[in-house]
Amino acid sequence: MDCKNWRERASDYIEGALETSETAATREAMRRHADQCAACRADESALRLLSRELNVLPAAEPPLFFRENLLAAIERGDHGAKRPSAKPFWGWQSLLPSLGRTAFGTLIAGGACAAVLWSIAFPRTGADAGSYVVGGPLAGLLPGLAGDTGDPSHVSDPETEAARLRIGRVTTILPVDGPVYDFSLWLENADKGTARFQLIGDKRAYRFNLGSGMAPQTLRVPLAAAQGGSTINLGVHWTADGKSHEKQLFVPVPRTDDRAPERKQSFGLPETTLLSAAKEIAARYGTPVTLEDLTADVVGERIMVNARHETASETLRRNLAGRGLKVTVSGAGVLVTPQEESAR
Amino acid sequence: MAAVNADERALIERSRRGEIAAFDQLVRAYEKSVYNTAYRLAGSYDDAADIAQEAFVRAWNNLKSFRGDSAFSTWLYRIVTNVFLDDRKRKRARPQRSLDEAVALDESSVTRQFEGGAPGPEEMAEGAERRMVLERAIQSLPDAQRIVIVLYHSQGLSYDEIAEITNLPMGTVKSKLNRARLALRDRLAPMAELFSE
Repeated sequence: MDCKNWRERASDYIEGALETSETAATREAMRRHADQCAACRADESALRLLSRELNVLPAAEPPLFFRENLLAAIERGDHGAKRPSAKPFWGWQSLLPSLGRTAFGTLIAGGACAAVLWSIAFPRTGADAGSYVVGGPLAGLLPGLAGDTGDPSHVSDPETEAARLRIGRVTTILPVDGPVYDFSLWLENADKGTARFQLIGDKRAYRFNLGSGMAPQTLRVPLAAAQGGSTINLGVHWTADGKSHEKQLFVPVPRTDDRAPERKQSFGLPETTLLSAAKEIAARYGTPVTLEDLTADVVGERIMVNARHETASETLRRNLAGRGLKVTVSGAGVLVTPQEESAR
Repeated sequence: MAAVNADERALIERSRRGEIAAFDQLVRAYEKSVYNTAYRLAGSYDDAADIAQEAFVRAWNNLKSFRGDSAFSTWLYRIVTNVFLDDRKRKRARPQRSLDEAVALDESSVTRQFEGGAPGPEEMAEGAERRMVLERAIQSLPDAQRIVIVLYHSQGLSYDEIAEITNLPMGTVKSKLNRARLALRDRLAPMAELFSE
């Protein structure tokens, strides 16, 4: 038994798995060689430790919403997937001519479903700056998008070509798996970029590659991601042409009662962070709230928020006054950005 | 690894007929092991997500060719390793990285904002450092050795199963595993004190 032979049999020897045709004599020869050869003895103990370490490497968690988005991709026929034989939704026509593709079917049961139906039938819209749309399928583009500063009279400045991540939302109901939101995303004014979505407080992420030539991507988020709360809380880290940006979106989920939130409300919140306050506002008013490109310090700032018979945007605007933040509103929700924007 | 049981056979049959709800059940059962295999092979979360997704899409598209001779999991593992090898071939043909990858790879910048604070001292404890070094060493192995190491150690598969997945004779599987372990041991030798007891 020399070192070369010893090394060839090392794995099996360590695992006690030497071929049965190899007799006890071989095992004995291995042991004797290791006793006499410091190098092979060192190898043996290193290999044993290595094996143990390899066995206990922790399992990596799949990305956030991996399964939901895989199935959505198959349903759409993305990535060359064959279309399934039976579509899970039926019956209702698309209610979003511009975003296109939502269809609703007859629903099995459930308060959440009733609330969504309510919001389809009785959307709240208005021409004034404080208007919003209650959750559901009629929400169009979320705030923070190209040209959308929230002021309905704003005309997009053609010289402003800052890269933008546009996020649109469409609600889909799947009776088998539970309701979901599909968010469509695409990049504007940039050649390529990425977007990484997380649930705030959760390490797992779902990542997209984006590019100016690419079709919009879709992120499917099960409404169960609200985890019993009134909002789905998404953190988005996105990059475009080498620059990175942060966005936090608080998207209300349909209410289980039949009432739409009041457009103007009065309440007081205990002192909390801006992040939590934004979430609370989204929940109470049933309107999406987006924080865009705010630093961690700003987002973590402690504030007191109260509403005095005000709309969501009025409440935020008044409570955030003097902090170098701008609050804008569109038909799709409220946007908070730094006052001095690099380009818009 | 159990042979295909009756429930699983029914799900496979329904999935073959295009029933996505049945395929959903299969994905639920295997997504963790498929993803983890992809991650241990590819070494990055993002690549692993792409590989795992493509593996399931291939499985969905090719269910008709699954004959039930082997376990469904064996078939799936074979698909994952093939997707990994295809991905490696593609990357070797196209080596430049995008500008945004360097930025996007900084995953910690997202979590930092919400979890607060830099990683604590426990994060860089010896165990974690050992793990990182070992993971990097696995990434330096040639593809075939990497596959055998990952299937054996991370997925806990037997020589038999690995032989079926890789279409290699058992003797070859054993010798590749041996060579892989020796290669890792040699690569880690300069850091002996990190790996000694």
